[in-house]
Amino acid sequence: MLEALFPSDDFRLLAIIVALPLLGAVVNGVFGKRLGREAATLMGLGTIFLSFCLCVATFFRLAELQEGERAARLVWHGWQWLPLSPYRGGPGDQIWLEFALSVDALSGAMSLVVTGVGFLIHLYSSKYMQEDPGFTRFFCYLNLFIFSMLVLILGDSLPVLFVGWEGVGLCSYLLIGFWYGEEKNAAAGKKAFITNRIGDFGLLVAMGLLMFYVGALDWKGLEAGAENLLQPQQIWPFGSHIPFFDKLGSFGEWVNTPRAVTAATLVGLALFLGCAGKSAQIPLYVWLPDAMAGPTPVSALIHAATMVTAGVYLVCRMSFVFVMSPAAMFTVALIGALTALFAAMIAFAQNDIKKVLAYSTVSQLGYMFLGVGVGAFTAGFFHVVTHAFFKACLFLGAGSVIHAMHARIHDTDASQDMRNMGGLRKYMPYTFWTFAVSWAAIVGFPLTSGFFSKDEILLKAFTSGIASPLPDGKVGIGAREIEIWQWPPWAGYLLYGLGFVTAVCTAFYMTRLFIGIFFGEFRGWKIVKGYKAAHGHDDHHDHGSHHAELGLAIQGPKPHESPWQMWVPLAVLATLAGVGGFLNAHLFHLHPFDSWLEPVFADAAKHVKLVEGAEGYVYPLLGLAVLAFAGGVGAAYYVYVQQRGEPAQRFTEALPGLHRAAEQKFLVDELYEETAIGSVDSLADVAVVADKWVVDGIIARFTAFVVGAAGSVLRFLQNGRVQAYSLSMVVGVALIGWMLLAPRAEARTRVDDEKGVYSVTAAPGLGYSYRWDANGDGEWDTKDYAAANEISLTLEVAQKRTVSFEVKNALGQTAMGEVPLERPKPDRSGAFEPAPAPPDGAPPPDADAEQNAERALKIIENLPGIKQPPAPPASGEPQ
Amino acid sequence: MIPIGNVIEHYVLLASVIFVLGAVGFLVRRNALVQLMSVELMLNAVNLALVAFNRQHSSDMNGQMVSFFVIAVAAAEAAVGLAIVLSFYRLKSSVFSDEADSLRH
Amino acid sequence: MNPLIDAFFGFAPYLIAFALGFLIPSKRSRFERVAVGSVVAVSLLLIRALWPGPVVDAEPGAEWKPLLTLIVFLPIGGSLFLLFLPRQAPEMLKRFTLGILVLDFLASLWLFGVPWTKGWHFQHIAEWVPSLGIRYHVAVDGVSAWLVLLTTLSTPIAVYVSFGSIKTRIKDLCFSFLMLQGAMLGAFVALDLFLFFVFWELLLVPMILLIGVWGGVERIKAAYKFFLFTMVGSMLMLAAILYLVYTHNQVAGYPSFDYLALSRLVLPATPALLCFLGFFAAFAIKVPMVPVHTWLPDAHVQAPTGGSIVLAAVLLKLGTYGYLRFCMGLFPGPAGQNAANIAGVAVAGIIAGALLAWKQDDVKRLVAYSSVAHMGFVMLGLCAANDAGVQGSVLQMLNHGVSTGALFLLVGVIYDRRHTRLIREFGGLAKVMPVYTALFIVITMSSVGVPGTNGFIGEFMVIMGTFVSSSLGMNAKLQGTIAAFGVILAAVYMLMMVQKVFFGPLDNPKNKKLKDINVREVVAIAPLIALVFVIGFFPNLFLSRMSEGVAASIQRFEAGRRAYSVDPGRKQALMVPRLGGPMERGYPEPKQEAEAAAPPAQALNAAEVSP
Repeated sequence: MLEALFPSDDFRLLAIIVALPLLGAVVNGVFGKRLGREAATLMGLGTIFLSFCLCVATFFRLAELQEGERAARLVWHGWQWLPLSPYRGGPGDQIWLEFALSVDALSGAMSLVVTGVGFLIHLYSSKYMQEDPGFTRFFCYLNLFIFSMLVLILGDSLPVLFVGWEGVGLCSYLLIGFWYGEEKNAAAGKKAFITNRIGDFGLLVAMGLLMFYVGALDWKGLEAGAENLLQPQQIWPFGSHIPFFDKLGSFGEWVNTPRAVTAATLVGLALFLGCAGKSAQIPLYVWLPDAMAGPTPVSALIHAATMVTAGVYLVCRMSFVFVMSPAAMFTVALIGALTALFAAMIAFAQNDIKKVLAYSTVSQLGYMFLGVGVGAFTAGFFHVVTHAFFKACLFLGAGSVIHAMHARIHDTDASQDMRNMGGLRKYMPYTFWTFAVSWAAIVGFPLTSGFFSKDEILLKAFTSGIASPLPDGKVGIGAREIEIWQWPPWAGYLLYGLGFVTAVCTAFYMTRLFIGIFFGEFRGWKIVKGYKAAHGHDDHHDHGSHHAELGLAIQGPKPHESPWQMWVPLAVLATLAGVGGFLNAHLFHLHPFDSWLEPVFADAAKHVKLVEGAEGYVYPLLGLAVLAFAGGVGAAYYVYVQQRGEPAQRFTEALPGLHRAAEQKFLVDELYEETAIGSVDSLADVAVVADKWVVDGIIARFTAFVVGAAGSVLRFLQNGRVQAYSLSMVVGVALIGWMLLAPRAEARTRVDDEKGVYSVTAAPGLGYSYRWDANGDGEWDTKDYAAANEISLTLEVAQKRTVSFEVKNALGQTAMGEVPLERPKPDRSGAFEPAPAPPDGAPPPDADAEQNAERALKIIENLPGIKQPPAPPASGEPQ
Repeated sequence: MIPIGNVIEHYVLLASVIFVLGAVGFLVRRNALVQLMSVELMLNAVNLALVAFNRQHSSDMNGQMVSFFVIAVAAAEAAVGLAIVLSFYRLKSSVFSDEADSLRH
Repeated sequence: MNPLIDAFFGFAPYLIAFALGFLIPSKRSRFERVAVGSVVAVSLLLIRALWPGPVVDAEPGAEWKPLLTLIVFLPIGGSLFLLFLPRQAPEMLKRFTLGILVLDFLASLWLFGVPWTKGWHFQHIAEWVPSLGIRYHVAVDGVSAWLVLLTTLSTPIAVYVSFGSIKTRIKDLCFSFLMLQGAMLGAFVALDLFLFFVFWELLLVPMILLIGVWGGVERIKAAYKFFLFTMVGSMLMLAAILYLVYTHNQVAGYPSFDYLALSRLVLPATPALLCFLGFFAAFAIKVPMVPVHTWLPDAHVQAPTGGSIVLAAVLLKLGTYGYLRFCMGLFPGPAGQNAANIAGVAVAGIIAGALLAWKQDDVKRLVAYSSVAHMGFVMLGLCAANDAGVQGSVLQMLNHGVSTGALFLLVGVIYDRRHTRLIREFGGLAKVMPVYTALFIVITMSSVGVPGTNGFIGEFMVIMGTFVSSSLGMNAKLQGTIAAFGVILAAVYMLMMVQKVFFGPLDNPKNKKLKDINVREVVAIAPLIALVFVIGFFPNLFLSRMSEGVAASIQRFEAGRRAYSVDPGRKQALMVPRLGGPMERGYPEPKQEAEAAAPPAQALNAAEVSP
C-alpha cells in the first residue's frame, strides 16, 4: 500500500515528514498563546511523533528496496526552485535547481535518530519547561528546529541542505537566547549564530567551486561529476600576479610564484570549514560551550544529539568529494583528533556540569571527525548515533539534576556547579541509573554502545588512510602539473596516539563528573545564605518558586526525583546507550549497521587503503582501548573517591598556571577577541573614519569648497553698478561684432572618393568675398575677390592637390586657408563603412540598410567563440 | 545743400554720433534721470537709422513701421523707468544709480 | 457541474486563506483581522496568479497597448487632479491618493497576465518631437515588469505608513507621493532616452520635497546633498545621451533618442568608454556604489519613514536597473571590459557597507549602510553577466525593496513612539513589544539572507553566478569568495543591533510603557512579510517570468561585446543589426519605411546571432 501511495520516483512521504514539524511550529508560533499549554504540547509532540512514525515507514520502504550493493534512494521532486548557470554558460543556458528531498540509507538512519531522540526530548521538555511563560514559544522553536534538521538531512542538493543548515543555526540562535532578558544569553546566541555563519561562508564557497568545476549541486550530479575536481586550482597569487612585488627581485619572484592545489582539496577544506562551524571543531568550537546558556533540553537536542553532528553527516554525505583529496581528509582527521584532545583537557578543569558535558561533546565530535577523516565513514557515523543516545541521556540527566538543584538553590549558576552536588544517588535513583549507563557508554565500558563505536574509530585511525585518487599522483598538464599530497607514513601513529590519550582523558573527566554528582555527601545543604530570591532572568520562574519561602525556613527542600515525563525518556535513551552498540559489534561479527550503510559509501571506500596486516591489529588495539577505559576510570576513582580529590588539589597547587589556563579555556576566546574580532573591529573603525573624512571629505566637502571658492572669487565681478554691467555689455557686443567681421578662412570638404568629385565650401561671413586657387598651381585663379564661396573639382585616383583660398572682409582685411585633398586607391576590402549619409537628410534607402546589416551580421558571425557549445572548464587552467 | 534722398551716409553718420553720445552718457553719468535720457537718445538714433534705411529700400515700409514700435517702447520705457526712479528716490533719497547696489554680492 | 459549486471551489482557497489570516492577530480589532485576512488572501491570489500553469499561446496583440501609459499616468494625472481638491479635507485627500495607488497596483498586476516570452511587452509608441527623433516609447520586459510591480506595491505601503505619522501638509504629501510614483514608473518603462531622462529628473523633485519638508532636523542639508550628488551624474549622462544621438544622426542620417535604435550603435573605443562612464556615473551614484554612497545615509536618516521606504525600495533600483538596461545595453563593449573592475568596486561596497553599518549607532543609518552592501550584491551579479548572476541581481533588487523597505517601516514604528533611533536608547524591547520583535526578527533574517527567506535566494544566485562568470575573468572566484564573506558580516551587524535593541534587560524607563505594533503598521507590513517567504520558497514564480527577459538582455550584451571587439582600432561608429524578438522591430524608421522594411527585418530576426 505504501508503494502504491508513494511511488519511489515521487516519494511524497518525505514532504509530509518534513511538513509536519513545520505545521507544529507555525501553529504553536501563531496560535500558541490561545491554544494553551496542553494543546501546544499536543501539537508539538504529536507532529514529531507522527514524523517519527513516517520515518520508520520510510526506513522499511528503503530496506525493501535496498539489496546488497545497490544503493536505494527515494526522491520527492518538490518544485523548481532557482536557476543556476553552468561555467561559461551562454544566455539562457541555465540549470534549474529543484527543491527536492531524498532519502537513502544514510539520511534514513539519521532522520530516525533526529525524530526519535527529538521526540523523547520534546516529551522531556513538556515537563521541564512547564512553568516557563515562553512555553509555546519554546515548542515553536523546537518544532522549527526539527523541521530544519529534517530539511538538512533529507535535502537532495547542497542548497536545500543549506536551507536546513542555516535553519538549525537560526533555531539554535533563538533557543540559546531563549531567556533573552539576560544579556549573557542573548550574546551567547549571537556568538553561536555568527560562528556558524563563518562555517556557512565555507559552505557557500564550496558550492561556488562545485558549481564551477562540477556544474551541479544535487547529489546525483555531484556524484557523476566529482572526477572533475581533480584539476589544479591556483590559490596564490590572486589574479595574475601581485603588482608591487614584481619589482623586488628574487623575493618578489618567490612571492609571485604560482601555487596551486587540487580543486578537490579546496572544496574539501571549504566544506570542512562549514562542518567545523556547525560541529564545533577547532578553530570554531568556541560557541558550543557558551551555547549551554539555553534551556537544558535544547542542549541535549541541538548541542549534543543532532545539530552539531550535521558536520559529520555532511562529510559522510560528500564522502565521494572528500576522498578525492587526501590532504582535505587528513585535515579533517587531524583537526578532529586535536579538537578531541583539546576539549578533553579543558573539560578537566570545569565545574559547571553542563560545561563539562559541552566540552565532552566537542571532544566526541572530534572523535567522529577522526573517524570519517581516516575514511571510516560508517564508524564515524555510528559514533554519531551512539553519541546521540548517550549524550542526550547525559544532558537530560544533568537537566534532571539541575531541575532538582534549582528547586533548592534558585540560582542558575550555582545549581549547575558540581561542587554543590554529591550524593544525589540516594535522592534521584532513576536519574542515577540512567546516568550511570550513559556514563559507562561514554567512557567505553566494554559492550556498551560507546565502547563499540569508539573502539572502531580508534582501530581505523591506526589502520586506515586515504590513497591518492589518481594512480600516478599527479594532476594537470604541462607547466600546471602538480602533485597530489599524500598521507605521510606516520599519520596512523599520530592520529591513534591523539585518540588514545583522549580516550583516557574522557574516562577520567567523565568519571570525575559522575562521582562529583552522585557520590559522596550532598554538599548542597550548606548553600543557604548564598541563596538568591531574585532570579537571574526575571521571567524564568520555571521551577516552582513556591519553594522560596520554604527554602528559608527549612533550608530548602531535599533534591527530589523528576516526574515520569522526564525520566521515561531517560530510561529509553539509557537502554539504547547500553545495548545500541550491538548494531555494529564487529567483535561479534554483528554489523547490520555497516552493511546497511555500505552502498552509500561504496564509491568512497575505493579510495580508502588499509595498512598491511590490518586484521592483526584488531585484538591488540582492543586491549589498549580497554586499558584506556580502565586507566582513566581507575585514576579518577583513586583521585576523587579514595583520596577525596586531594591529588587533584595538589596538582592544582603545583601547577596553578596550567590549571587556571584550562579553567579559562586556554584563553582561546580572548585570543579570538584580540586577533580576529579585534582586527575586523579596527578595520571597521578605519572604514568609519575613511567614510567620514576621506570619502565624504573629498567627494562632498572638497568639491563644495572648490565651488564655493570659485563663487567667492567671481562675486567680486558682481559689484552692483549698472554702469559696470553695461560696460561689460558694450565690450561683449564689440567683441561679437569683431568676430562677425574678422575674416575666417575655414572650409568644409565634401568627398566622393568613388567618382573623384570633391567640393570645397568656405565658411560664409558678413561681407566676405573670396578668391580661389583651385588648380593648386600657387597662383590665384582670379585676381579679384568674388562672392562665390564654393568650388568643386575632379581628381584622378591617387592624385593629391592642395586647394587654397583667401577671404576678404568688409573692412578689407584678408585671411588665407588651405585644404589638402587626396583621392585614395579603391582598396577598401574588409573595411566596414557606415552607409553614406543620404543627401538632404532623408533616411537611408532600404537596400543600404539591409546591406549594412548583413555585413555586420557576417562580421559578428565570423568572430571566434560564437555558436560554439559552452566549453567545459579547460583542465589545468588556473584561476 | 546736399540733396536728401540720395546720400544715406549723412544720416547714418548722424545716427551713429547720437548713439555714441547716448551710450557714453549712459556709461559715465550716475544720475538715473540722465541715464534714462541717454537711453532715449540711443533709441532715437536707432529710429533715425531705421527711417533712413527705409528710404533706401523703399519697396516696403518695414523700417518706418519698426521705428513706430521703437517709439512706443521708448514711451513705455520712460514711464516705467521714471516710476522706478521715483520709488528708488523714495527708498534711498537719491537718484544716483550706484546707490542701487542691493544686488551686490 | 453547478456553476455555483464551481464558483465555491474556485473561491474556497481564498476563503480559507482569509479565515486563517483572520485568526492570526490575537486580541485585536475586527478591522485588523479583516485586513490581515485580506492580505493573506491576496498573497494567495498572487501566488496562484504567478504559478506556472499550462502555457497559453496568446497573440502578442492580446496585450492591451495603453496599459503602461495608464500605469504611468494614472498617478501623475491623479497628482494634478489632487491640486484641485480642498486642502481642508485631509481624509478625502488620503483616500483619493490611496485609491489611485491601489488602482495602479491592480493595473500593474494585469501586466503578469500574459506569457512572459523574451522581448518587449506592452510596447506603446507615439511621436513626440519627430524632428529630433524623440518619441513616446514605453515597453517592459521580464526585468522592468518586476520593478514596476515593486514600485506599485511599495509606494502604497509607504503612503499608508506616512499617513500614520505625518499630520502636516497632507495635500503636499499626497501630491509628492503621486508624482514620485508616476515618475519612478515612467523611468522604469521608458525606452526613449529623452523620456527616460525626463522621468529620471522629474522624480528628484518630489523626493526632495519629501526629505526637505517632512524630514528630520538636518533635512535641508540632506535634501541638497541628495540632489547635488544625483545631479552630477545626471548631467554626465545627459552629455552622453546627446553624444549618442549626434552619432546616430551621423551614422544613420536621422536623429533618434530611441533605446532600441541607439543600442544598435557601436561606438569606437574612446567615445564608447567616455559615454559609458557618463551613464555609469549617474547609475553608480544612484545605486549607490562606494565611494559615492555618502548621500544615502544622510538622506535616509533625515527622510520620513515613507520617504525612506520609497527611497530604499525603489529609487536605488533605478541605478541598478539603469546599469543593466542602459550601460550594459548601450555600451556592451566598455561594460564587458570593465566588468571585473566594477565588480571589484561592488565587492568593496559589500564589505565596506557591512563594516560601516556595524559601527553605526542610529538604526536608520545602520540600515542605510546595509543597503550599500546589498546593492553591492546586485551590481556584482550584473557584472557577472550570466543568467544566474543577473536573475539573482534582479531578484535581489526585489528582495532589497521588500526587506529594507520593511526594515525602514519597522524602524519608523519605534521612531514614532520614542522619537529617537539611537541603539543605546533601547534594550529589552522584546518584553514589551513581542509581536513587533517577532516581525523585526523575521525581516532581519531576510536581510541577513537566511535560507527560506528572500534574501538568501538573491545572494546565493549572485554568488553562484559570480563563481562561474566568464566576464569577470580570473578574479571571479576571489570576488565570489569575498562576497560570500560579506554574508558573515551581515549577520554581525544585524544581530548586534537586534541584540542591543530587543534583548537584554529592559532598563530604560522610557521603554517600559511602549505600545506594541498597531493595526495600521501590521497591515502595512503584512504583504512584505508574506513576500519574504513567498520569494524565499517559491522564487521560481518570479524567476521563471524574468528568465527569458534576462536571457535576452545578456544575449544582446554578448552580441554587442563581440561586435565591439571586431576592430579595436576602429575610428567610426557602426550600426549592428537588430537582435531579439519581434518587438524589437518597428522602431524609429518613419512609417512608410518601416512597412517597406518589414520583411528583411524578419529575416534578420530569424538569423539571430546567438541561438
